[in-house]
Amino acid sequence: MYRYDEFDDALVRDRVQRFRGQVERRISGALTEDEFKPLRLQNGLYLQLHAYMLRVAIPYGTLNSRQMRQLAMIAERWDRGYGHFTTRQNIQFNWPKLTDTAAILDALADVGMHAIQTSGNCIRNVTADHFAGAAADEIEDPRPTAELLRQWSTDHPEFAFLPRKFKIAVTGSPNDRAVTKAHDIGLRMIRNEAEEPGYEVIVGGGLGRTPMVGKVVRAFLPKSDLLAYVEAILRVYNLEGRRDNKYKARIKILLHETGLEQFSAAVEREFDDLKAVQGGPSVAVDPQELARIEAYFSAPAFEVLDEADETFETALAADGTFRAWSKQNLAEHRQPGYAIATISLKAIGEVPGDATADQMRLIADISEQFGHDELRISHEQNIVLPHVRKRDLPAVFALLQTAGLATANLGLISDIIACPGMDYCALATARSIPIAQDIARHFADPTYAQTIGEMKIKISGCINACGHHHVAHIGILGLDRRGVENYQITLGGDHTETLAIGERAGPGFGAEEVVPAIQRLIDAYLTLRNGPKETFLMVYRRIGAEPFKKALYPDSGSTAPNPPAPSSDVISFSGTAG
Amino acid sequence: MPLVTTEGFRLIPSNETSVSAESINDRFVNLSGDAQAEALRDKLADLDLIRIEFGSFADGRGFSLAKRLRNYGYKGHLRASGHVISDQFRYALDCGFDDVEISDELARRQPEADWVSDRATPVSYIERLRGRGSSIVAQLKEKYVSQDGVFEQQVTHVKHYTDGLFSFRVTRPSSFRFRSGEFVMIGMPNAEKPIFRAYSIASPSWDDELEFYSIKVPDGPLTEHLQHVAVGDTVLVRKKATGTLVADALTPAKRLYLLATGTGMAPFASLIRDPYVYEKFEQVVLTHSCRDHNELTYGREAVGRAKADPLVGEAAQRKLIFYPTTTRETGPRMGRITLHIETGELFRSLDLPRFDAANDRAMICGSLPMVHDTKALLEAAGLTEGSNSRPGDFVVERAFVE
Amino acid sequence: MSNIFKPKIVSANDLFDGDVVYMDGDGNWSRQIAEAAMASAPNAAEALLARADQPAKVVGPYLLDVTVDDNGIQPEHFRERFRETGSTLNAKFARLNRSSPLEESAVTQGNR
Repeated sequence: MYRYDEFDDALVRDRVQRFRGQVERRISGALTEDEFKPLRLQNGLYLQLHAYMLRVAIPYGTLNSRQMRQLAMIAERWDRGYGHFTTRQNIQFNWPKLTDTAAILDALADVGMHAIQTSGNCIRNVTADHFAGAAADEIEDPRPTAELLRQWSTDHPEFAFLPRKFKIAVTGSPNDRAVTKAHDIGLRMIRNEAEEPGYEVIVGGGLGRTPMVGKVVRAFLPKSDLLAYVEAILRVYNLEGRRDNKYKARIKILLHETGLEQFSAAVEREFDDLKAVQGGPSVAVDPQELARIEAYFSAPAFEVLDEADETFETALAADGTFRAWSKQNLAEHRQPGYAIATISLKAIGEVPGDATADQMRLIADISEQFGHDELRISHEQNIVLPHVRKRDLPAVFALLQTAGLATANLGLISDIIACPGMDYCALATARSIPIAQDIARHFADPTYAQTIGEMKIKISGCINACGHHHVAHIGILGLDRRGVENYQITLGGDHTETLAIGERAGPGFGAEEVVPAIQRLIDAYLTLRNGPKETFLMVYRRIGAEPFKKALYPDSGSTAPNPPAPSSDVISFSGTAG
Repeated sequence: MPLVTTEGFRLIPSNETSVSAESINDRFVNLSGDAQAEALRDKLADLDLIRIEFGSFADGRGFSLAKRLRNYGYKGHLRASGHVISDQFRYALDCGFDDVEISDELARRQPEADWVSDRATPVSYIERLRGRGSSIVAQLKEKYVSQDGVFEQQVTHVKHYTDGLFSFRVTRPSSFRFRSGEFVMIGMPNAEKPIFRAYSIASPSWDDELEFYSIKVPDGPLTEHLQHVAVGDTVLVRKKATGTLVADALTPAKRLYLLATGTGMAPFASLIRDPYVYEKFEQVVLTHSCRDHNELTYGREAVGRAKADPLVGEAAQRKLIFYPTTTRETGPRMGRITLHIETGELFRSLDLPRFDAANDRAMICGSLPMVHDTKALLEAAGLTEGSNSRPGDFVVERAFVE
Repeated sequence: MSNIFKPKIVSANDLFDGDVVYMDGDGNWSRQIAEAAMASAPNAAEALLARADQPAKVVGPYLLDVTVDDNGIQPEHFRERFRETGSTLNAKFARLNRSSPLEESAVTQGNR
């Protein structure tokens, strides 16, 4: 994985020092709050409901044990002993003091981490497939591309004050685990007919208030043109993107209003201009630099092993709990005898994505001892051990059990994505976490969860959709309906390469009505499916939304209980910009 | 309206001020953020000055507009005007602007120094991607390190004892060698030519970090900055340690007196954790005199650490005696150490004989008057001063104050 | 209904730790809603808000509707109730609401 050398270190330290000065200048009055806010946001610092919140980047979700331990240290020293892993491969500390932030950023720099551009109207933390470099289905490791983009976008002089935030995701596998079609730019690493490497460039995807599936702007972009092409997209967006309305300021709206053809033409024109000017695009990457970056991502020294391992098979046969965990939480590794193990941060009744300092340290220890010192954070708020010998899995599992980290629920109904919601977030219109906890507790029985099978529930506490509810099989959106928390349900979303935006089922539910509503949907699914192999999503696609809506609103037809709330009823707080 | 240039604040030349918005005359053009650069493409060669308006600093269109104009081949003067803040100055220059025109109100809040310091950073990933990474690193080193023979070390721990005293630890270069009790020159990478000052190393020679104990001198050229060090900061350490407060500069004897005032405690904090000291002497008496009790804390902790140390703890518990006094704040034991020696109070309360050259050795580290007076007392008792080249009965070093 | 004036208080976040604060009658900021100054008429509310413009101490002061009952001042909206009582989660991480004395001890001393 990428490691900071003295250049990276100098850069990050300089940034910390700069931020320290900005905090001092805010306190002295040299910077107004309006001027300070974008600056602090670009250093990851939000002002939330009850406290500041610091969002730290985990670029393309990769970190090592030393970094994880430092996160634990920070959680204990400057926060309240835990951190929250987000849907965009970040970790959030919920209680830092303004005057401590520079010290925290320094502590991050000590282990080659930062919080640069984890917020603000700039290019955000570049995300990638969390199975990168390990997945059996991978064409090419997306992380060198993500790292290249990270460096290119960090403190970019031209693109630090965009109309709105800008998110880039990269995948190197046909099975899209990075939700590339719901990003401002999604890059899929592909090969053309001549077997040359390149990217399919998808632009204008996004969730939020106006969910849209990204569109292919360039079917094949040669690898070497990446930065020039991205620069062209960003320049067109920076100049043409709407700045009159923050809800219409994302690139997806620009693309939608301009039309794909015209937008693509504008990008291609800018791209041609860039290539024509003397010196080429702003950044013609030095090939040695590229090689240097790529070298960091060479595979670990895997042992040559048989695919089957006796220790592993014996443990599987002997221990039902281990068997259940292995069935649910392991994924196929490209190297024989290895597996990708996912640690669920969704223990029943706990806060999705939260980990205590002790848990972080244990995970760090495990990765160091059994996992080639690598960890990944998934957008589904779990932690991945990308390279574990199957032989070591029973030992890993036993260690995880000691810290409440051995929940065998990956991809099941209790593996819920939830944004922080109104328990933390200044933008939220309702709480998310308690809803997630209620659902997980209700469906806690592992046998029942297995019977239900693959089920993606995702909860957002406001229209900004940080909880990805639009792409959930069952999505839940918390709103404020005339001063009461109200939850809308969407059905049939899909976050994978077959990305689909869920359909709103109908009127919302009160907080206590959510669990019974989910139960009705599950009952309907179990009745309607053609056997256990047919997942909820498959049934939904086969028969459509109507039977599920009927289950959700059993009384409808005669009495519509709650007419759909007109949007004017939805109060949205204009707090910290997201 | 000041004009911010790479040289600092300037007045706008009067012939450049009277251009109405969006107007085009022969040589000057004003553009707002939503202007279309394409429309100007053919006229660029005739223009001397293009001024791009920033309605709000958060509206970054002007940066892309500037970039486009430069890409179209515009070679004339490019000026940003309006709400651009000092934190964006380097961005503006990078995008092709020559200068920035700001309001008087902004200039008051963000004076010239803010703009100058925003530009000071030579590090950017974009420059590195262009292949200039190693030359930037070389530049940085040149800037921060005045000459060869300097280690750049990271601060690992900082502790403040009083408003005027603090200690800190830094990583130790693996090749850095010193004897317990020696001092080294340290500085901070905050100037073209960093200021170095001598600091006694307060940790023993076997420790894998280096500890320093410092006073905060108001407006002192080094401590002014040093007192703000935080974990992770860089401190420069010269490669050669030296000093006379080493066990080798004393001839063998029964007892060792370590006599300190203030931060003169530092070299002794190192020595009392060195096993060699306990091998060489049967008894070690450490005295520390400060004005107030809280200024004695560091020494007290150092003694505690020595007695708890796995390496020397057992010997320190048997052999090390700590004798603190306060000179201003009332307490159980008051007065300067010279007074305690002269009156015999020191020896009476510890049940020890008075100084004698056959059995006693001493090291003195403190303020200049204290060093002078204590030295006189030792010489009066028949002890002679030694040095590295000629070991003797006592050695002396002034505590380092800027 | 909309022309009936609801009593208002001013809340903001503390500049230094981000905590929820309320402005009292002297223009000082308190962590306790009970100490908040209340405006019972529109012009009083405006005056209160004007006085709250103290960027050196707080961020984003604004007016919020309250009711007064036997328990004292109560925010009308649930969001404001959450702000007042702290995070509603009571999980293993011992989340502390803002009035808990434990909070201070959770603040580790910095380097300086």
